[in-house]
Formats: sequence, C-alpha cells, structure tokens
Amino acid sequence: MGARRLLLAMVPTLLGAQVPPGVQRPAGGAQGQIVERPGELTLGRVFHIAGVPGVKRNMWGELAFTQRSIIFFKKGTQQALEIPYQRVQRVQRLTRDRQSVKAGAAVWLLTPVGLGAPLGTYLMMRKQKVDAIVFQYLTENGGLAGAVFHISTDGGARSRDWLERFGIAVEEVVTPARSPVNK
Amino acid sequence: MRRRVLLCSVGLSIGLSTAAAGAERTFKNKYFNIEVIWFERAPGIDFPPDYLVATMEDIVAELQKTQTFKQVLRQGEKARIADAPTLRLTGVVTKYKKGSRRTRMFKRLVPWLAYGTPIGNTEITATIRFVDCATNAVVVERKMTGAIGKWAEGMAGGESIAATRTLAKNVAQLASERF
Repeated sequence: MGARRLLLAMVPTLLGAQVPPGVQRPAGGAQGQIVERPGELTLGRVFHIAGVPGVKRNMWGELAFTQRSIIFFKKGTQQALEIPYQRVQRVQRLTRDRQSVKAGAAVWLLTPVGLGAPLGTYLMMRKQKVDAIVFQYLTENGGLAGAVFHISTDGGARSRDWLERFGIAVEEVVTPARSPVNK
Repeated sequence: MRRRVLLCSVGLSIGLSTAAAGAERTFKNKYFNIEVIWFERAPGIDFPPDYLVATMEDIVAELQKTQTFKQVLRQGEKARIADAPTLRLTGVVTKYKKGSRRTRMFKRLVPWLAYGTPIGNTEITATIRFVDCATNAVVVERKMTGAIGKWAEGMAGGESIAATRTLAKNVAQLASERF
C-alpha cells in the first residue's frame, strides 16, 4: 500500500508537473513559469539542446532576458552562458515536438507488470509542442557560435516580444508539414 | 592448398591495410589548428536551423575531445599563433531524412514488423572537406553520415537531433585518423 502511494505521488513529478520538496529551484521563479519583472524576463524549465559548454543535451535550466544580455542558468542556479545583445547575429524560432520519454519509461518500469505499460507507452509516444529558439552569436574571440533551447510556446512568443524591444528581430521559421526525406 | 591460399590472402590484406594506413599517416601532426566553418545546405535540402547549430556545436565539441589539434577555432576566430599550419573544415549537407522517433519506438515494440529496416531513422549526410588554409588545397574530402535508428540506441528510439552528434563523432574520428 505504501509503495502504491509513493508511486502515485511520483507520477506528477515524473510528468514534470511538480518539484519534489527539497529540490533546489533555479533563481528567478517557479519551475516552468514565465516571470516578468521590470527589466527582466525569466523563462523556467528551458531545455538545453546544443551550444552551452559543459551542459548536456536535454538538461533543463532557466533562460533570463535582461536589459543587456541573454543568460542561461544551469539547473541549480549556476550561470552557464551569457550572450550580450550586441553579439547576437541571428535569432530564429521554430515549432518542435518533445516526447516525455524518461517519464514514460519510469512509469513503464516502476509500476507492476501490466498496469504501467499502457500509461508508460502513451507517455512515451505523446508529443508536446514546444518552441525551439536558435541563437547565432559571436564569442568573445569573434568566432561564430550557436545555441538551441526548447521552451514553451508561450515562452517563445514572450521572448520574441522581449528581444524585439531591444532591436533584435526574431525570424519565424516554418517547417514543411510533411517532408520526411530530402534528397 | 586451401590453407596456403588462406594464408596468402591474410598476408595480402594485412599488407594492403598497412600500406593504406601509411598513406593516411601523411598528414599526422602537420596541422596545429582547425577552423570549423558553418556548413551549407545543398539546394533543395530543408535542413532545419536548430539541427545546423547542433551539428556545428557538436563538431567543435567532438574535435576538442580528440585533442588532435592544439586549437579548434570557430568561424572568424583568430588563432593564438597566427603562422601555425591550420586546416579549414567545411561541409555541405546533401541529404536530410527527418525520420520519426515514434516510428522508431514502434519498431522496437513490434520488432517482427520492421526489424532492421531504415523506416523512421533520421539521417544526415554531408560532404566534408578538410582544406589547407595556406594553399587552399583540399586535403581530405569524404561523404559522411550521421544516423539515429540503430537497435543499440535503446527502446526509446533515440532523439532525432542526436543524429548531429553521430555525424560529429564520425567527422572527429576521421580527423583524428588522418591528422
């Protein structure tokens, strides 16, 4: 009975809906939320895809837009990347899908045989629409670098509005609906 | 008789492979730096910008990991020693197959339907060129592929964007073999 309760309590956490008590939240706001303060916009639960040194793919953190720069905070409040606006070359925004594979696999494996499999499979297969935001910028040494993050669709729109306030145009990239092969 | 033929063929293959390895060692320790230029897309190829950025970042990271070069430079970056022999890595993405993670997962759940087939696999093919910066001569040119969809990549099928890392690893491996 106790194990069952524990498992039921874990499901929302695995789905990314809650943070278990005691887990350190990144600075700036609640997980997955958008916090706008005077002079700063912070997006919570931003997934790193590429470009931040020392941060693995799909590790999440916070993306803060300040008056001068874009800052990515790795989980646990450590600053991992800062891009001043004057070094930004290009920003693109496109729609992407994310699948909760880890959550699905956990449900699949943790629940008793036969019960967790359908729910786990559903979670693994389910697609969630997110925005991919792509930055191309110059490093301190003048080299062209890039960074990609997955953020909520609402966060994508808010960040576009924020950047446009500072004169940075965000290109909307429309991906073809069905073109699985390009040769 | 059969044994002799076998021994001869083994000897011949060893000889050929060592000769080939000798030819590949020509550029060993010749270049100090490598400059990674952003890849281009071949006309008609709809390679998404997030995949392009991921490819470039993964290539830089993988080349740094190999420690083949003293410095891995990004496009436009200046080398610490200006006169040091430098290579330029360029590439053109010639094929991109989007693939589908859902299909790959489904393939694993029902293996008797599509075992070993490339259905749902993500593939990126690029023509890679290593160019000598001083002479502008192409030193090595190779068509390379990064793909996701092998059975070893687990039940979850592997993320499609991870194909960029596979491509980057192949490029870095080629660089460490040849330079």
